[in-house]
Amino acid sequence: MKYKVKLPYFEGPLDLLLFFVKRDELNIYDIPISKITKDFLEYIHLMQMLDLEIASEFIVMASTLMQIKAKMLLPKPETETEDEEDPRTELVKRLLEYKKFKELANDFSKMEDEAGKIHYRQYFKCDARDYYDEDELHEFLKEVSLFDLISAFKKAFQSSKEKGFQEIEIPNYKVEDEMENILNRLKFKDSFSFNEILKDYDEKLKIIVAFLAILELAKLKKVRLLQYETFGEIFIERAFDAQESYASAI
Amino acid sequence: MENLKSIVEALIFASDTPLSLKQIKDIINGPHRKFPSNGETEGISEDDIKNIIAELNQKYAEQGSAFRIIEIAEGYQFATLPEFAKWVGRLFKEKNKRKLSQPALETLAIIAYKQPISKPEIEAIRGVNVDHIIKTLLEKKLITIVGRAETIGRPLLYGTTKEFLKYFGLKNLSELPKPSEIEEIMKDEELENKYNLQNEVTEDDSEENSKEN
Repeated sequence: MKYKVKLPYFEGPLDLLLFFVKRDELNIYDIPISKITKDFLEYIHLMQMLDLEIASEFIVMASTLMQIKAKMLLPKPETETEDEEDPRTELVKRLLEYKKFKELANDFSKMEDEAGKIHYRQYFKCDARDYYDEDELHEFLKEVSLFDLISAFKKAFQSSKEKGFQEIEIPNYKVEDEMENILNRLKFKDSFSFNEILKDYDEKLKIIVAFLAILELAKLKKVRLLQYETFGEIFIERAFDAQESYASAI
Repeated sequence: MENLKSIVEALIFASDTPLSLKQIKDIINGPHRKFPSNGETEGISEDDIKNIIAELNQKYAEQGSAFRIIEIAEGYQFATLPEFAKWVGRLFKEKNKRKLSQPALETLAIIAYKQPISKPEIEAIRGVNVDHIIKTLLEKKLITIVGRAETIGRPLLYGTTKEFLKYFGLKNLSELPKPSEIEEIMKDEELENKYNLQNEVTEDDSEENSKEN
């Protein structure tokens, strides 16, 4: 049998369970746990198929349902059948509680509509007085004329002009050059630590370029990167034959 | 009395928040105003004010005014009649008319009936996380922090505000709609079992049954 499934949005596992109860006209006090568990798990599988992130709440509910199902399957001890509580009781209580508030939310929605039709007398918040306190306001609007505004504008304009221009240097570091530097270092040493590079370079940009160069070399398998502990020192180790020409790497 | 009527009218008119009967009474009876000549040192009572407001509303109705003094959020405030909502709404450009979402309404309902209530308690009822909703409701000033629980972790407790009452057109919290009969059923385990039997036979909706009984 094939199903065409339209997936509505559920607020949570309780909402989903209530949906099943309503859809199949189930008696909420006597939920067929096996059926509802099956439906619930199907829904979760569907979510998985659609690559939806499944909230942990759904997983918890799935396990709760399965636990109840398992409990109901176990034979009850003959002696205390009367006192034995239905394993579903807790779930039914929660469902009813949630149902109550879900229904109240509908009432609230109606009230919201009705109340929205009534407009209370209030101040329009478009008065300058709403934005400044009394003292500030007097300070702010004391005999201000249009000319004050123009001169203020002029002043602001002038001061911004005075700042002039600033020269920006174009840095002259290239990742390629740095790769060569690093390979050169490794010609004489089998390995060195990243900190050694930091010591030689004082400029931030240079360090970044060196870092990129190392990553590039690692990608080309010309160096190996080693770190012995988390946040520990990073070692760059030669991965090419010292005799071999390194020029091909670049 | 005519004078008092105008004073009450002026006070409510000038206020942009609901004025309680007590506030009005205290203003009118204030330290400088006494009525010794009447033999009543008490001054005006809250019932008097209530009557005055009723008289004022009567007057507005007779004049065919578009507004009334409405009891809302534990106080009284001038408001336009609902039939003018269409036009007044345009005046305010309906900017605040975005309705609350279903999850927000559910959460709000839980807080309204169970206040003061902590976040974990709300989440236990709804079965999902309510962090975001709580934040939104706080921003909208529909709920507020009313204290901390004495339980482990001392979680914050939430309750509804006067804004909440106003938003839903309630005079006070006792005006909240009564929860459906479900709760009453839950209280009585005996009855519950009876419904079980009935439902098994008739397969009727349990709510229908409870109404009939």
